Amino acid sequence: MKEYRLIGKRLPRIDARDKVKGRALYTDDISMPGMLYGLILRSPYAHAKIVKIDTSRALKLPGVKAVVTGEDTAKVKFGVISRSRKFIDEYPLAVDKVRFIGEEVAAVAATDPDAAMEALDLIEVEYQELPAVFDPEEAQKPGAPQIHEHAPGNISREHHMKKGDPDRAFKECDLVREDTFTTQSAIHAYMEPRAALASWDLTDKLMVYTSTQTPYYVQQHLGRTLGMNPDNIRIIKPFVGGGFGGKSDGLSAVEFSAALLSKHAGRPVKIVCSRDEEFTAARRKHPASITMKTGVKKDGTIVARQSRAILDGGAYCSLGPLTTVLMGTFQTLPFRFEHFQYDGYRIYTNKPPCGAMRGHGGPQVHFAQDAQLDMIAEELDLDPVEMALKNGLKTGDESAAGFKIVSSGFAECLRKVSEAADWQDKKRTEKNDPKKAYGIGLGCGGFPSGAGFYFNKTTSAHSSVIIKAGEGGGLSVLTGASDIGQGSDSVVCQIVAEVLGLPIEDIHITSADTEITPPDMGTYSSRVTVAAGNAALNAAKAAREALFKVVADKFEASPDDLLAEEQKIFVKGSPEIYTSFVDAVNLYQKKNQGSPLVVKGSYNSPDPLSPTYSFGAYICEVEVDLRTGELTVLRYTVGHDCGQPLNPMSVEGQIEGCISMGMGYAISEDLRFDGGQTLNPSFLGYAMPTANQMPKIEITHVVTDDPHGPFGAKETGEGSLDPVAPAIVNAVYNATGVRIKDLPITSGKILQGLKDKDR
Amino acid sequence: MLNRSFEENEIKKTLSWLSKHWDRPIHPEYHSASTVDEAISMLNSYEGKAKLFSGGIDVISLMKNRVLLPDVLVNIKPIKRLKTIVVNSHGIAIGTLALINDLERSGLIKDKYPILFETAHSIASPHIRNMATIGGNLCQDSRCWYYRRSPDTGISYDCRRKREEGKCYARGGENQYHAIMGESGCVSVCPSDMATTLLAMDARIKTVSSSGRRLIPIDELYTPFGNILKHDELITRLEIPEIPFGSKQKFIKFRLRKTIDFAIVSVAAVIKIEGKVVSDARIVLGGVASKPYRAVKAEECLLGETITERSAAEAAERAVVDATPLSKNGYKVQIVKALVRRAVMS
Ligand SMILES: Cc1cc2nc3c(=O)[nH]c(=O)nc-3n(C[C@H](O)[C@H](O)[C@H](O)COP(=O)(O)OP(=O)(O)OC[C@H]3O[C@@H](n4cnc5c(N)ncnc54)[C@H](O)[C@@H]3O)c2cc1C
Ligand code: SF4
Repeated sequence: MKEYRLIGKRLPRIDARDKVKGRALYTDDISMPGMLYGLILRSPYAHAKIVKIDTSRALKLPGVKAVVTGEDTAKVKFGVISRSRKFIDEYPLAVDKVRFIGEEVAAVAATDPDAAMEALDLIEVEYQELPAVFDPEEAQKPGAPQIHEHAPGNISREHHMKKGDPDRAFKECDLVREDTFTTQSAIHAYMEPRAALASWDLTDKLMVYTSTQTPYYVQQHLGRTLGMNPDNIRIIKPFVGGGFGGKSDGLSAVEFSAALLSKHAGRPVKIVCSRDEEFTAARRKHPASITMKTGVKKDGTIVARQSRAILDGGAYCSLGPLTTVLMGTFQTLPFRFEHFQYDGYRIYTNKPPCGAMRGHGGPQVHFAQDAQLDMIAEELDLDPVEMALKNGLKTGDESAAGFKIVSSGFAECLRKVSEAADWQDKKRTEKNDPKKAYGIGLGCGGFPSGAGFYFNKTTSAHSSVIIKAGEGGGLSVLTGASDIGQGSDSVVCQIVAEVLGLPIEDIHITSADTEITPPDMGTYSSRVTVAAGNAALNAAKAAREALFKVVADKFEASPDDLLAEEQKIFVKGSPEIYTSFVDAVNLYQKKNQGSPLVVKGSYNSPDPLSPTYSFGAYICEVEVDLRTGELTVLRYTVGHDCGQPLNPMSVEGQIEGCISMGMGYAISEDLRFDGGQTLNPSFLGYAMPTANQMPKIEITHVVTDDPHGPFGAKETGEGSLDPVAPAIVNAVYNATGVRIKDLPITSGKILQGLKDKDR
Repeated sequence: MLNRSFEENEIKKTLSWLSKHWDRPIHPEYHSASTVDEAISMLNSYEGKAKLFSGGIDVISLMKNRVLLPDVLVNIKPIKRLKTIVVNSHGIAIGTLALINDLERSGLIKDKYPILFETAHSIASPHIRNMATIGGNLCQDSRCWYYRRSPDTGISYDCRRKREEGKCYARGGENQYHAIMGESGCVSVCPSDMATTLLAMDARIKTVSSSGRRLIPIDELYTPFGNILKHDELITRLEIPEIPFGSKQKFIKFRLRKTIDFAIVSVAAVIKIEGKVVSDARIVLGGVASKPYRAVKAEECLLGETITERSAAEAAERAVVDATPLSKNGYKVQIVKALVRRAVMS
């Protein structure tokens, strides 16, 4: 593997100091003169007709400057997957009907938050309650309440795929298992609640600061719903405190309401959601019921898979139609299936809409897949690691869903972790303590490094980067790729600095201001490192080419013979013949009538599905208290192939974050309902793991030089989540003999399982 | 002085914020009492419309969720003499305003009454322990999700705890953290860890009201819907008898996360052993009933016995003989047994 100056080095994030010292400005930190405070009125009904809204009392309250409802809007629906009309199903402020508790019905803006809060109580909404349905099975039955006119049977999306002939293949298998797995309602719980600050200038141009993963989409969808040319809208993404898929819907009522209120009031308006609103009414992860049938040969070779998933979609599409597809296709990673069939159904219910959440369908199906393969391995008396090795996708393979694997370190991940965790020994050791049991379990994953397709109709590339050189030798890098805390700004700077032989401090990045930065589809689908990274790489190469040309002329050398290193451009083999980087930039300007050096680069995936895929194998060790059912995660041994880690510290941060999130998903995070009402909308009720529950984590980077990734890099932000929960589930089984098929693993379920086993 | 006025300013700011957040146009008055008598006369003059508060953690959060809507708040934090902790040969006297953190930090308590230290240390988080008073901890309200649900983002439940005609939503709903002992209109549990331990320590509560003084044993403090304190009655002090040298004392708390969370089940045990046999035992369960629950049957079966795996297991079985779990909390029975056994064997 090639050694680089910056790539692959453990570098601190470029924004770390600002964040640690509280200097980084998030949306709520920004204020404008004359700014008003906005709040949103939400529906207390899960399903109701809006008969009448009277805002007159609220408007009379001193301090209140604007109140808006669906009637004040253009009544244009939005949906992030805007290529298909069926998926455009939501008004940014409810029109005529509400479909979940917490749906946005009206919004107010006032001179102080107190007046806004009081005004909410003064808006009189007359509802006519309609029968509601909360369970996806019930919702499909004849006679169930119809949530949307366009979706008979409340089917929001169905997706079917088939390869080969699984029915026939099962007959030739030595073992066929069918199990049903279910998962709970989980939520992103990003630290920064959604927030937006909108203001209009006197030429009717709109500017919005917003906490989003996808500024470009917000611009497009805001244009559509406000009935204006998106180019007249400027979206600025300041620092963002996490998103995990919860801020990638292209638009939220928060941005829309702030914009509309600001228009009505003629003053800037800021809306910041409360934690209660975030837990009750924001997007969440799909609860799913997955029936999975897998057929194998005696030696563990997987032959066929048939599966059916029912997704509880909530009241609107969000990104759910895509989740429905991905819960099929993601099953085909990281294993090979000759015969494969998937039938997915996403069902509308009167609950908050479910969309993308880190792993996007992966965590649900990988829980099912890895738990079932563990059971199969046991029945066949095989080692799950051996079985995974036998079936894992290799470089050059194509998965059953058509994913073309151009680099796979999966086998090496498996070998490395099983050795590092002492898997063979620990797996076999009998643990016969009446009080405590210890267990070890395997989880496997693979994940696309960004989707190659588009959600909207556009001629823009997936990612584009513009580089502009200053006469002091610094480079401005303009990108629409959104750093929401994952560190993409740092990585983009690292790539540009590496190519041009500059220190990272000389790179000045502006990420996501739609007025200045070129379109980028945003932060989702684990696409930023590969897509924006490649765009940055291409732009940096273009800058280098332009500079080499003028320098080559000066030295009467060929550009091919030049090198850019240590802020210099010199002739290969003759380090004494050089020009400094600053001089080269100024030379360029002189030769071009003073025109600045501005170059661009962009990137589109060569494959409509994804350019490349990451892989991982995780081994988890747990301790279970057999008398109380208390589960403690002791250790994770991780092998992860993200190609070439551009910054290993960042990669490890993603993996650690995924372990924390995956542990919450497996053990304690669970939004509970009464009908459509979320009952535990707080950090006390929604039990995310805290620092003192974090286990020991040992990470091995399996380096594969990916042909498509920038400097050979692949994704790490989402794929790292998939194996976490199943590894715990399998370790619990190894420890106790209790097989959990229904997340989360509560102590109650463990105790019940132990009881049932004794019977 | 500076400190106090700073504190009051902060409180007033919070109140002015809160005053705008009601669903009715009232602005609660805020008063600070500097003596017990002053506090009582303030509470008295508002005839039940005033709410006393000390740390304010529970009161403010209930007000934010619009569960509690008092006209007047009476802050008793300035009553300096209620902050003291005295440990002597008779036992401990704790002023109601002692912080949970004070109990955790006291070296004397840690040495002689580790059970009290363990309990304090297990409560909430360091920030909360640094605000929360022991009196407030004992009198904190139910943590039932239905009861505390804010109307701001949906439905507020007008349940049996709020209104006599109301129904109990938890009974047929999400009751995994509710009571397994006792029958009553409200099946939520007493959330206070202090109550569990103080009952095992046989503590008494001293109160003062306009009708005089009372000395209340901890288990008589609670009713299924709250506590027996009158609207102008104020806890001043807690008295805990000395635990004889050589007694076992143990607090064990089972919860979802190892920090912040309330007890799903807890056990506090003080067991006196004379000549190898148990001469007195107080075993108290938390998280199982509307008040700390004395597992009398478990205690009885230990009396006169030596402590062995068998007698501990027997006590554990006896602790749950009267359990009547709800639809989703049967698992608590098992956990109680494990914790009792562990506490006895400790
Ligand atoms: C996130 C979180 C986690 C928590 N975890 C735990 C836990 O694990 N275990 C646990 O035990 N507690 C826990 N708590 C509760 C916390 O300890 C209590 O909220 C706190 O003890 C209340 O104390 P306070 O002084 O703030 O009471 P306040 O909010 O001031 O008052 C609470 C109640 O007590 C009454 N009161 C206060 N003082 C007196 C008095 N002298 N006489 C009569 N009545 C009085 C008030 O009128 C009010 O009804 C947690 C709280 C939070 C927010
Ligand atoms: S348990 Fe008590 S507080 Fe909870 S719903 Fe029932 S009556 Fe209300």
